Amino acid sequence: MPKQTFASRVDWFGDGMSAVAYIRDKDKQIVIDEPPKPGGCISVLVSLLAKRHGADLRGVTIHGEGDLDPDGLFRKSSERPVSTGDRESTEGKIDDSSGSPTIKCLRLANSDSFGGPVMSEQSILSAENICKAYLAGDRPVVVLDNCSFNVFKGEMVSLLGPSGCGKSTLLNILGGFVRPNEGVVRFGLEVVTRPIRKCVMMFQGYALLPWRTALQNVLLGLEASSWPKKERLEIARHYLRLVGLEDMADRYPHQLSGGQRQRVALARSLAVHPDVLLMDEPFAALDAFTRYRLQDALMALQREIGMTVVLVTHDIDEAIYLSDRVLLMQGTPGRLVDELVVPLPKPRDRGSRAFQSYRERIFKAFALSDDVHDAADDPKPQTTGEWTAEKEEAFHRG
Amino acid sequence: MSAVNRTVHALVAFTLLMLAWQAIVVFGQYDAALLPPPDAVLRALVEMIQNGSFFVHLKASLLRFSVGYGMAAAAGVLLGLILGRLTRVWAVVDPVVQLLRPISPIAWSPFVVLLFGIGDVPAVVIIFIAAFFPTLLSTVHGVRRVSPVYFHVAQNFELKKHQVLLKIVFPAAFPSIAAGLHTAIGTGWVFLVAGEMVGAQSGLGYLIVDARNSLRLDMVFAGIVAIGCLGLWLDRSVMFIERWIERRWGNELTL
Repeated sequence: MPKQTFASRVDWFGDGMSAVAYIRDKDKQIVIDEPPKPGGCISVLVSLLAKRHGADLRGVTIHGEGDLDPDGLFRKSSERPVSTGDRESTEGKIDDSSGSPTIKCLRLANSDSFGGPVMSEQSILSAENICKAYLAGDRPVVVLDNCSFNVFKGEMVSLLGPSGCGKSTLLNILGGFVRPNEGVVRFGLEVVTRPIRKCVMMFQGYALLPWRTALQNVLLGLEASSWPKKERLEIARHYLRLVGLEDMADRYPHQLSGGQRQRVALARSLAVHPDVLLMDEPFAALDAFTRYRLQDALMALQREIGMTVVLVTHDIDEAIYLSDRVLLMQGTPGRLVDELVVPLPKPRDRGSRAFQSYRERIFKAFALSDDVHDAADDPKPQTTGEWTAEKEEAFHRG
Repeated sequence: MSAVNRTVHALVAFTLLMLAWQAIVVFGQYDAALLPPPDAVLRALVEMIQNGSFFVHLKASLLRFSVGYGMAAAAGVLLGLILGRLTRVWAVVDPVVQLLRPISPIAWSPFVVLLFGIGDVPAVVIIFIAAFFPTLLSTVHGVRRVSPVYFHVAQNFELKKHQVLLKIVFPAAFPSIAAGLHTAIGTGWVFLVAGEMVGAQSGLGYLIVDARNSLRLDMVFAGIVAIGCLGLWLDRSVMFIERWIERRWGNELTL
């Protein structure tokens, strides 16, 4: 793999608290997520970091959405080209003001890992070369083949893929419910061998206890703690209020609607203050109206609490709408085939052009759109074709 | 079906039964001492109630039944909860249980009398044996059928072993446990009479044996009727409790 990346385009996005730079070449991309420093300039930052990771930005314009005010905070959203400026002088400027910047997320598309372990300082959850096989009769069936990725603090990451690609299994392995045949899952620096309270799973179907009321269900997680009874009750009520169900505290699950049950499960998961929330198709069983409302509620809550979320879904729109990063899974055995950073500011507009372009990109990755089929038929394959071939190879090597 | 309808149907059934009984006595020309007519049985029942002997026997029976059944229920449920979780141990215990279960508790009665003598204990032991196996088996069955997702939830919240048993396994297996307790109350009650015929000096079973010995078949019949009615009453009360719990928890006990 050549060290030098020749960027063809640089995009960056900001939302007030952080800015994300997205540097693209034909087959390599670097993603830099960096809180802007007061007085800093995002284009400076981008060129500095790009240089550090072997990307050459000379002669490339950086496209940005929005601008930074003198305080370094993102203010308005408008697309306009920004000049990269002179790299030598900008480098000095950054070092003077704030020391070396930290890199939150970096990935070179050719490496066989997403959110690469190289830069895993802040990763809260990481999967390293996960392989899983089940015995069907006496024949082993491989469901996951060499899956590696990192999840960073505060991120919302989606595992997106068709049913049967092993994404739920991967999530269960992340949560410690299923042991992988090969590879390890790390929570922080610790190897995960069993489920822990710091990493709570919201199961498909929510797994509420039918013999307990909504409030008692939320209390369940707290009952293993050493909190006094009165405080436990207070915490449980607080979280029920947070999901807007304080009036339903004494209802049993069968007396609640699907959306309400989902919210009880969410309150139950949040009540134990997890660092990471794992969600297995949390919106799959809900009607479209409820689903949209609850997606917004989840996003608002995630921002408020600053929690890390890993979500399994087969809904492309849901993945784009909610996540900072989408990991695409495919095939039997399931593999991580691609990663898509979605740096759009939240809350997102499902109808926006940018949203549609991400949809298009996922369609292409899953070969769902027509032009990809055409490309596959082409004797001289386009970039997409090369990509897949290269990646397949990389995975087999790994 | 409404409650009124049910009552009407039950009344019709009982009336038909009484008429059939009376008809057999009249047309079969049986001696009243061999097959007493309904009115004679009713008179005998009233007589026993009036002289108080009925209540003495009833009290003794109910006491033995509650002790025997209570112990069987406690032991069956507790052992069932534990054995249901220990798959390996249950694999060893199960064949033994399957071997012992079909043996009628009465078959043990010679040993029971030799070991425990005459009095309350033999009847209690026989009721225990009768009620223990259905309780144990359906508890184990219920525990083994608890949806694994509940265990995952418990693991995730780091619940301790005893908490899992108390907060997850017991309530999740409860419908099955209740069904076992229901069956056990029936079998226990059946073997109450048998147990009291073996080694007791009081109770409804003894009442029947005693009345037979003095050739008072009307009293025997009165005892039979009393046992039947009480059995029905016990069964209905358990059913009522079961229904109440089911209403409370809804029907989604399996995910």
